[in-house]
Amino acid sequence: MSTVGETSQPVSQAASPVVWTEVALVRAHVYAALVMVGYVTLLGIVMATKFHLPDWLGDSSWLTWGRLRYAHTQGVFFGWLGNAFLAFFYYAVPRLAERPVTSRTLGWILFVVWNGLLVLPGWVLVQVGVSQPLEWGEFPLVSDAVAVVALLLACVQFVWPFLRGGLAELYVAGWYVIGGLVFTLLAYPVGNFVPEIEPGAKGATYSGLWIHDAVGLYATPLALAVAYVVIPATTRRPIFSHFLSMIGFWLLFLVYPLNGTHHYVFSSIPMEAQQGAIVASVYQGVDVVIVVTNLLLSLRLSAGVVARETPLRFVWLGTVAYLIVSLQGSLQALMPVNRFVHFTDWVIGHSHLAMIGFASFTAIGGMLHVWERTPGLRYNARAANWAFWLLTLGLGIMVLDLTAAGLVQGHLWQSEAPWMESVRLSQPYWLIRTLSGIPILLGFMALALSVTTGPTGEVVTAAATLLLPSPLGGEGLGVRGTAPSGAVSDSEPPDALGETPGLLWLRQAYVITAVAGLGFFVLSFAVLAVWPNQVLDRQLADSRPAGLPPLSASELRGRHIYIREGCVNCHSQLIRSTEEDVRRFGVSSQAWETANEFPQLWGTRRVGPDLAREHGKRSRDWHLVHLWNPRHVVPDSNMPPYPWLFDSSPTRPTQEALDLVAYLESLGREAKLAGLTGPKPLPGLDPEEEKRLGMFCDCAIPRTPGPSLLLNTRMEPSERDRFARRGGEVFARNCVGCHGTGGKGDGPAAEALLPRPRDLRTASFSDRALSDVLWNGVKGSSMPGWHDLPANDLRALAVFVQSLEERQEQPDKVLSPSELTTAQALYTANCAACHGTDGGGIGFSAGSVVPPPTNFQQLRPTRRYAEQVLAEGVPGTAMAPWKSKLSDDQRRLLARYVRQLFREE
Amino acid sequence: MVVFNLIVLAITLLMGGFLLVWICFPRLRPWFEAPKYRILTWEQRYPEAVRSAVEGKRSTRSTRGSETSA
Repeated sequence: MSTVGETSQPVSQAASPVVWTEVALVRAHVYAALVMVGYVTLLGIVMATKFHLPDWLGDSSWLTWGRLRYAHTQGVFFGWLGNAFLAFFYYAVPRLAERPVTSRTLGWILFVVWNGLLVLPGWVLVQVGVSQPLEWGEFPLVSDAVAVVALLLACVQFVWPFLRGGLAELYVAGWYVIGGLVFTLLAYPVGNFVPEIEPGAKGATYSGLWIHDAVGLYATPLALAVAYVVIPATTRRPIFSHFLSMIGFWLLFLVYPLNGTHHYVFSSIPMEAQQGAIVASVYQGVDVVIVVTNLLLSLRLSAGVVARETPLRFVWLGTVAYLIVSLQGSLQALMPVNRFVHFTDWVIGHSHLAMIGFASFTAIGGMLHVWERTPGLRYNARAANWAFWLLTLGLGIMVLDLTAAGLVQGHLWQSEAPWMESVRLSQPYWLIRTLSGIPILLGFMALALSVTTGPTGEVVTAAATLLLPSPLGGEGLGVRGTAPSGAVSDSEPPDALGETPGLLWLRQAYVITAVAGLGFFVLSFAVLAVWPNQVLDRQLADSRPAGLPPLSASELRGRHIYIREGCVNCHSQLIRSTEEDVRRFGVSSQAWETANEFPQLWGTRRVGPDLAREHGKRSRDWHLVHLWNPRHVVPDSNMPPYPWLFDSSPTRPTQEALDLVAYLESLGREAKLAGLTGPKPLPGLDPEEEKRLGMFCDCAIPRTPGPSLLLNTRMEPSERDRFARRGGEVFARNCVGCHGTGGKGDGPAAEALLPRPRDLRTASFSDRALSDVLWNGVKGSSMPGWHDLPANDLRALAVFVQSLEERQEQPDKVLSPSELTTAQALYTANCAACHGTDGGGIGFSAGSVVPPPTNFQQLRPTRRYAEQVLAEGVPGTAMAPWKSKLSDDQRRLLARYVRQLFREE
Repeated sequence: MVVFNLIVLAITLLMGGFLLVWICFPRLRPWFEAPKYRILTWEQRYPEAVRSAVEGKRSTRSTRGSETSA
């Protein structure tokens, strides 16, 4: 342990107390930051690669996508940025406070708590499956408790020196350190603990605030503290205006906390709170313009220094990224933009621009600034320069790529294209995103080299070159000639307040603003969380149907597994009140539906579809096969497999798999039982007024697929060929998982499905039969409805399926009158109860049979298949084997009989 | 929304108040701006202090070294 100069005591008291840099702690935090950023970047690349190769490392539960995603974000937050900022504070705080940090011993305790008790165990916990499904709050509750202790220690270590030294004339960077640490300490427990106590929509009001506070009250102020130190220290000129910087500082802390609910626009949180957050988001854009203008004006005529000094260049680019990402944030809070880009990769690009482009670039600038100025540390300027360009290249490609991907996804989600279309069309963008991770990883490696190789640093000479008056002849906004020109003198600028009686109270202005800041922080929770919760309480009391069944024990266990595996990272459970969402997923999510959800699972991103209305959509077998290997039932899916939920086969699910499926099947059950129908026109509001308020009436949106389209397959032979080819492509994309490539019913999923997928070669289907099955699916089987496919694709699919029928070697002999009489008697006695007297599939028992009995008027089995079914039955259906009850001749006769019931169209 | 409008108004008034003080009391501007100079003086003092610290350390070592040699 040592301070600068490897001395154990502060040196040269006469010169300045600013030499109290705890070099050993700087070094420890920088090394920890670099190791951890290497790990989280690797995690990021592995996750990105899994978008194309979802089965890669798919056998390991530790390395499944959802768990890695938890580790990735928390690693960035605490492991990388946390350590980078702490390292910088050990250099900057003694200068800003003119006092050493509180205690070196405390520093080592903080280092151990931060890394050894928070980050490393947190990673282990989320990767073994103990986590919290909240954005920026993924570490479990036990880690949250450690985080609060760590933040408290950080406050004692870095805020206390400021309080001891007085705040009246504190430089803005010191304010940012104080504000960032104190407000994060206050916001963290609210965002991480309260959603565990307040369920569903009520909890979301708090977690929404934390999502924004994590960036706005932690990453942003701490990064700005770095910028406000590095820029003047490197350019050797004061910032443009300290007055503007303080306006920006207080605006940040007054406005940022009010933004949070913009993460849940169009949700069931009261609309007034949403609109308030949107207003605050726009106001925040104003603040950022003020801050960035001040920072960039501080760099005026310093282009050469920016180009030459890599740490400053990092900070400069971080500042530019701050402007872009903040204006982007204000823009995407606006309802017309939000409805388009929310849940898409646009937001992922936005968050990477914030956390790498702004926070990380600025933090790196701070780290390198400290490193090259601290004697005894190796600094390789060339490697630092490489790091800058590699990181800039990787980040630029990633952000542009994800932004474009988000626009593509948003467009497709607004259209009526099937969900999987957005997955397919996103693949090229996801590939580019993966590749963009390589320069980023190389950039961080170069950064590691820059602080471990190169010459050992000597003292950076400041000498007498610190010029105060700017080349423009002023000192910034409205101040001229208040400081000595030429070299800096030790004397302070004149004490204007001392000469202005009656304004001495301004010395205490920080007290006013600090109280206001704390007040607005509290107010943000009051207005965006406490008040909306009171409204929600009233809504729940009025609207929650009584007598709905709670989740069963199995479903609750399944919910836990859903959280553990990070399903929330790709699947939302929040159908927003937008026409696009309601049309695609069903009635918008109501607050009362999540009244028992601790914590809520709304999610903030969709790679897969929303699951809020999953109840009754799929069979249990389908879900199980989908969990075993999603590509078995959805060939183009990029969802990871979950083989650890099975005993080596999809036919042998463990209790965990059954629990998870039970939970999935429960989603939306309450809404269905309650007969939820969706928003109605508000009394007294005309449709135009509704539109202006961003509302709509879903009366015109069908709630069921409705009667099927009739897929007419009669066409010219040449046209039929073309349709069959197209149908083959559609079949390959959607059907081969179950029906196999040749339609034999032997796809990879087939063995686990009961009843097994139909061998499509064994029957001739009428247009009506194919239309019904393709549109509505087959109840009681794993065959889903495909009504979201374009009509022409469905028609092509019908043509293709018809082309698969096996031709019989010999045509059927026409039944003689005596055979017909016998067959009719047999049929009436044994088959008509289910299949109906005319073979139309509507016998008196048909209503209680799933899958429904075959309609022989619309489906003609091949003779061989009919005989086989009569002999062996169809497992998984009500069709029993008749081998023991009917003779071979009788079965052969019945097979011929049912075939002749088919009515050619 | 009324509450929210009041909050936005209060923030604007607070910031507007600071702006008014800035405009109406130009003699205060040096006080507002003073902190930005202080960080530069620290930056100037720091290398000198560190240099003296390093030199002090070296001289201590060399003294010890010569003592050891002796």
